[in-house]
Amino acid sequence: MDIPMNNTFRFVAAIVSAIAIGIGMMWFGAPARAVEIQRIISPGGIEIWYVHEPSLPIIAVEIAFENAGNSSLPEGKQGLANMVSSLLDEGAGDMESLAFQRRMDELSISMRASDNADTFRMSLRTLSDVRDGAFELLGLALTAPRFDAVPVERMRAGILSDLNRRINDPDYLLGIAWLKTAYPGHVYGRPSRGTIEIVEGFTQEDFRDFVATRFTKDRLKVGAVGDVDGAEISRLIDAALGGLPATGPAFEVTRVDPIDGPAFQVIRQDIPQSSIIWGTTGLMREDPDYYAGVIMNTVLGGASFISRMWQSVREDRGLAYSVGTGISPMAETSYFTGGVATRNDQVAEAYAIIEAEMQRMAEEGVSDQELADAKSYSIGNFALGLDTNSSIARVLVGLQVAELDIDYIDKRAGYINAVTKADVLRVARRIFWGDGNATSGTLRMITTIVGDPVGFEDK
Amino acid sequence: MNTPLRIGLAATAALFFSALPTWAADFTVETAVLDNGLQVVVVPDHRAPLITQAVYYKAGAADEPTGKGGLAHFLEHMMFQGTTNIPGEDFRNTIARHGGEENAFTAQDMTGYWQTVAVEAMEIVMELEADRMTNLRIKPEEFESERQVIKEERRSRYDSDPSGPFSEHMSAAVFLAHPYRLPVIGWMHEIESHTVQDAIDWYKKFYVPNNAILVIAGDTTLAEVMPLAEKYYGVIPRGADVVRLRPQEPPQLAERRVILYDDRVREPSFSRSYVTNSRTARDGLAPALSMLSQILSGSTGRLYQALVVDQGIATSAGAFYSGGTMDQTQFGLWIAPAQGADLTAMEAALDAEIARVVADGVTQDELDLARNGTLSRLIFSRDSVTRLGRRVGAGLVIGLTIEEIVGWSDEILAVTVADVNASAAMVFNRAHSATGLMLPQPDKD
Repeated sequence: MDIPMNNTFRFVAAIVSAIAIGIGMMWFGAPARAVEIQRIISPGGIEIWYVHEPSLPIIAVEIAFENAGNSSLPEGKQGLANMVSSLLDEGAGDMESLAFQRRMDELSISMRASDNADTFRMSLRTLSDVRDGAFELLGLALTAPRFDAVPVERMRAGILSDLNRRINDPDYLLGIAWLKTAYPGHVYGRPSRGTIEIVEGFTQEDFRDFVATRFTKDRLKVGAVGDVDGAEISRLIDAALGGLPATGPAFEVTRVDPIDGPAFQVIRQDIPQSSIIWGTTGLMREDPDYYAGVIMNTVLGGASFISRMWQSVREDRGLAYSVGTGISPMAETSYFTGGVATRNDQVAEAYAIIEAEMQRMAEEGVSDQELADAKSYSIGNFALGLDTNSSIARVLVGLQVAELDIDYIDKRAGYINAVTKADVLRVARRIFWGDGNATSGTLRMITTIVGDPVGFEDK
Repeated sequence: MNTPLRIGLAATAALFFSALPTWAADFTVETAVLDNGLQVVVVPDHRAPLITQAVYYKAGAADEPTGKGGLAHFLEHMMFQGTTNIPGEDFRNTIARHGGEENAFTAQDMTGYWQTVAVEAMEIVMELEADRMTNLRIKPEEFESERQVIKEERRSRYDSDPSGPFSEHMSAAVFLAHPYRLPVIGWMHEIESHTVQDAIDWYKKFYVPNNAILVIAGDTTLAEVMPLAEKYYGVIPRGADVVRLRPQEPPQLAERRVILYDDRVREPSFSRSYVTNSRTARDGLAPALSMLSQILSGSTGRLYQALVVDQGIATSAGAFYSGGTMDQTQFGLWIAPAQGADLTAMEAALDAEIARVVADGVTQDELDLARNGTLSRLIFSRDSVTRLGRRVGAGLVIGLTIEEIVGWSDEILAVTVADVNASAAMVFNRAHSATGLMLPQPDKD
């Protein structure tokens, strides 16, 4: 609580920026807003999940290409998706960089490309008055990016400078190191922005190959919210995306779990505070215990101000500004992680409390009251994510990527309410001990610390 | 209770480029004042069955007594620790059971508390927030525990990375006398010095209904809100009038330079801030400076085009201006130098661009683009009623009127090339500026 403006919790930023999670826990809370989703198949054969919202003169579009994130890239090409995301508005069609960006300015559109572990994303926001021009630019960026040498070198210089700056950034180092330890030799363990050496080596051919093989209709998921009718949004999407190739090669990502813990490492830095991430195997989105995991995590550390960890680490002992946990399911893995930052000489005390909370959860589960509170929190909180057109468009794509039903928003509360105390206990034992049927066990956490913690030997 | 004032849509149609109507950027605000002086504001939006309640106190870090840096922020932490009626844990759990989200923030000019909940829970959060406006109870042991939390917060935000001390030293150089020179969170030794009595004195002085603004944004109306506001907030007695007396800047006559060396710096940073007027000066400068910063910023803007695209001496560059401060504000320039760039030459190139703006002015085309972009963003901003509510609350707390807050789009529309050129000539005076460099530690011979 309390924050000088524009800040979120630091460890969350660390985990999100370094690990580039796809869909976080809180995303899939539950509904109150009656969101009427239309499933539209455009004349060009593109499926669009659409919500008609006539009260604002704007259109928000979210696009995901599956199997097109960092995990789709071979060893030695990590960070290519990130660099491509910086280049799509640097000239397309017959417009060079400046002409393209001036056109975006003239139309006042916002178009942002991004990538995460499994998908490549594009967000477009436009006033509906200028929709034809906006969707034309979207189409050009995805089907005819130029990759001219001059802007490529400019963007490369920016990325290299950013990577160099991050070499001493404790939070960046922490996320990178944790992933590398958790997923040795696997694409999920490699840094999503690549390394200086890798980024220096990207060629025009790499960029063109990325676009040709990954921006394809068989990978495409589209969500949109706007004040035009279904026929019009179909026409616009076809105009922008109709020219994409039908298919591309599949890039195999092997199913993987983090290594078996316990594992422990300290990265020494001469700073007054240590940052810690701990984690282990989480729950896949399709796991029957997924919602039990949601409830367990909410009680333990997910609902930040009311969680057990918040109470014991911050409220009772004043050991940290923030502490929390989450479950991050991706296409071929899932991890449970938590984060905290505390003064170097308090690391041992804080971490002992955190471990004790996980152990207690695995041994005892949750009380009736905690179960009921976590359910009502989770159900009510989901509705808060449906407050803007842009956030609804993101949810529409998230549902499709997670392969959920179109009426998921209405069904979710039922899934949450079905969770029992026994489910929560079983899922806690699965996550923390590695066996849902065990009656005792050892925490199997992979723990990484950046800082100068007192009382920890480097291992 | 005064008669509710309803500000509707000011329809000024203006066409350029993509035919942007400014009325599309306008929004409805309803307001009334309780007998105890609490201003109640409602920003209705019925798309989702949610509301965000926020209470803004006209009390920020810049209002702190000398030597008590961070007291406003410390009190904000204590506001979550419970009242004579409701323990802090119950407050948090009640909101969480409704799936709500809540937080608070402290800034130089204000302290704000907010909750977003389903509209059915509106009365509950109003009762909770009204309770802690007047019944706060500060326990010494919780005060000490929270002090440790705040010190951890300071370590996280400012002490673990050289950019923290760099920004703190820059602020201290930009303002000579105004407390904007001091960090909101406070220096570590001042955080150490606060007492329970300091916090109570602060609370009693500033946390009174006549020094607060209640903003409810979302699926409701003033007619629905007022009976609840009367019931929960209306019973709180009016406090003594609060006068916000802050030291003001003397004329600035000498430019300043801040250089921070740190081993951990791998890429240098450059920034410069000029002290200038905010919207509260009401001299027409703010909308013009806002347009000037747009013209200098972004990848099609002058600084990026000159320093990054044409000369290749930077990887990024831009300008910023925020008119939303109670007293004077900063017009800032920043550059991320290219690797190996000659920083002296880079600064000279920046100064050449600034000199060109001052000497030759900007073009109508540049102004049209900047205006269009700003108006579009104002229309997009209507997508989040929570953010609209924040804009209204943050504007009122620094002394703007609702007409001024909603009418910002009209002020932007009225800016001329001559206005922008005059604002550039006024703001770009090195005697009013501080320039900062964050550099790697030089090699020790």
